[in-house]
Amino acid sequence: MQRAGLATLALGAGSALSACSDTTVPGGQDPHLAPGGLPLARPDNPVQLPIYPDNPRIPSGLEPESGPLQLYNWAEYVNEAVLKSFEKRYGVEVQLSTFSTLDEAVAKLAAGAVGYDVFVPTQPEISLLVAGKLIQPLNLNYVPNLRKNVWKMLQSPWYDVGSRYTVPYTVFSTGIAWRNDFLPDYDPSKYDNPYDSFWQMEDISGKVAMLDDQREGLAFGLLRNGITDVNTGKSDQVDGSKKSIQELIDLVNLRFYTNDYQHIADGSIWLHQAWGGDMTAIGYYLPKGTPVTSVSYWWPPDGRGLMGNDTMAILKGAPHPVLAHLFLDHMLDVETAFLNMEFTGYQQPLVEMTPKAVVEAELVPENLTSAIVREEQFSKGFLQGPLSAEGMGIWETAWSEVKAT
Amino acid sequence: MTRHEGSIWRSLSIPGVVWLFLFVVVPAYAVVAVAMGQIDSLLQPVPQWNPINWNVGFVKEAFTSVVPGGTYWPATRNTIVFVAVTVFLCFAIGYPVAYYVARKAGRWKGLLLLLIFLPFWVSYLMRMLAWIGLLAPDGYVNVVLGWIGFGHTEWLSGNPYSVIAALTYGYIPYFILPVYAGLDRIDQRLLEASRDLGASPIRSFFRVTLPLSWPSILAGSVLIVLPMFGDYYTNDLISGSPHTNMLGNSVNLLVQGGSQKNLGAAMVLVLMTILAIGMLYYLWETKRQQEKLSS
Repeated sequence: MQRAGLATLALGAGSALSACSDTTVPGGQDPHLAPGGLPLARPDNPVQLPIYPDNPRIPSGLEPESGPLQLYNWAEYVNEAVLKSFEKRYGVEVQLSTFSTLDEAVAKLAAGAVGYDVFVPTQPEISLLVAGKLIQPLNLNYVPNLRKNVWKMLQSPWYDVGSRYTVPYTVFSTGIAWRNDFLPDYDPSKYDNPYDSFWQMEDISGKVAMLDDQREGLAFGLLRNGITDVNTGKSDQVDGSKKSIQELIDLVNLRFYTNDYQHIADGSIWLHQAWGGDMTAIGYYLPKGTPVTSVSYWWPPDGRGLMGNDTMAILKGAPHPVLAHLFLDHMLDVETAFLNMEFTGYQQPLVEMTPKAVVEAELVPENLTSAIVREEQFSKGFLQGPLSAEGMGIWETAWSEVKAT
Repeated sequence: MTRHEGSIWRSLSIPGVVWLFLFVVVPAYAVVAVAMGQIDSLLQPVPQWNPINWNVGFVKEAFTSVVPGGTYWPATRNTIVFVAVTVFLCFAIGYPVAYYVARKAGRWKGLLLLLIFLPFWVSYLMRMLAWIGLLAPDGYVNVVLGWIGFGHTEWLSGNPYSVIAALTYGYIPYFILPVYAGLDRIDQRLLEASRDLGASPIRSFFRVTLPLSWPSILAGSVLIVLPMFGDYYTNDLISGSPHTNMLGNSVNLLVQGGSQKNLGAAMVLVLMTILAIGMLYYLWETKRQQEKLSS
């Protein structure tokens, strides 16, 4: 009896073990497509995102709800004054909730967090949000400022043809910032490959930093290696970038930060891969007595550099969808965009938001206008887009290895 | 004690048991379920609650990545070295402080205890941020070192010494307090007996005080080792260099890194395993000490 019991137990354990799987890859989808099985959008392969019968756009001509409008945004990424002006205009309250990483936000939304109306995703994540039916299609009749004020190429961008789900929020360049008072002879444009200049900085070991961001960091390594496809899914190219950055870590004791503006401002870092939007606001962070002219920022003047953009979308099941549409329109208003940039430092892709205009409005110091992206540059730049499920795995693994060096 | 009285005493433990189950066992099982789960097509982790369907891929990857030659071996090595050095420093600095307060402080005891408690009133994060200011190139640490003839030091240039110093500063109060409590509880008559039997003060310390305070040293060490193994923000704030990454940094990166949350959960299992070994030693040693005392 006892023996039979043990045999049964052994059989049970055996079958239990055989039922266990041994995998580390996402299941149920073509690895060459974007997450969720949607086509992979590229400038030469524009994608019109599907509209699902169970996730339709709202009809035209509806009255706005009484609110409060719920905005789910990155921390420190909207001027409260802009929210106040919306409240005044429509007589409703705006409540702001923030997140610090997109993963955190998507995990929360996918887990069924409800109640938010407007969401601010980065552009490469859009297909994932559409496939997961986390955002709803837009009715652009409520958003006339898209056609009126936004750059033509972003009125119907390659990643969301017809702006079916998103309107642009900000655009930004990713370039090189440095303290010219500590590095008077440094100028990336003097180098054949400006990105390679980081690998020549052994003398200032410990004073060089890269953005602590998988896409930005590895794209920097790709550009240094002469590869301009910053959305590549080729493992040898991503691996080459990883190795270059690992070499740089040893060479200059490379640091990784997302608050580039603080480290450049306090002088703890002299040379930093940096977001243009962070540099336009650097004046607020510099210590007393350090002039804003002590900071320089380089991004290729011909526009052939790294770029990114964030978007605005309305969540599926938003309690106030009409109000949410009106908020999107409000954010694309020229006056609102200038007011918003006063706080965020990030430009919006509006025709009237030229380098000259932002300098005149005293939003950007004259020596940092290189941080402002122009429409003609945007069309030539290397814009980060979605990765395939397989590509994502390659990038994530490479970045983990960089950070574990 | 009657049988009825016994069941009353046992029932008093129910709230604690329920608490432990809800807030220790369930979350720990959730971590296991995520580590043994899958990723869906939206790259979100799908926990696998049923052990029959567990996927061991992430756990295997996690355990093979922390051994020499593995991806996370540098972080594992850093964690072990940083924690060991920090525990040693906490002992070297904290034990004399605890000893002085327990034995020699006299009427200053209350004030000194208050000073030891004081750091608890400020959040750990704020204390670390304060250190950034102090260790900055033009911060007070360099100014003071300059006065006494030392050259300018780049404390925040991503070196392990600054991380260890920050860890020691951050965790030392948690070490001092249990050691102080242990030393304060030692029966004075045992020391007097030792002296009466002819032992010198130093010999009394090594033969009586130190062995009797050993359980509290272990308790203090456990108190600081447990959180230190999962610490990532001290390194993030003070260093920011991959050269000083600890296992906590790797977990933090993985749980925020798209489709790698399952691997992050599996890395938590690695940490739990390492800590469980330490905890087993602590329990064994505590039991051994108790048996020694009672005999």
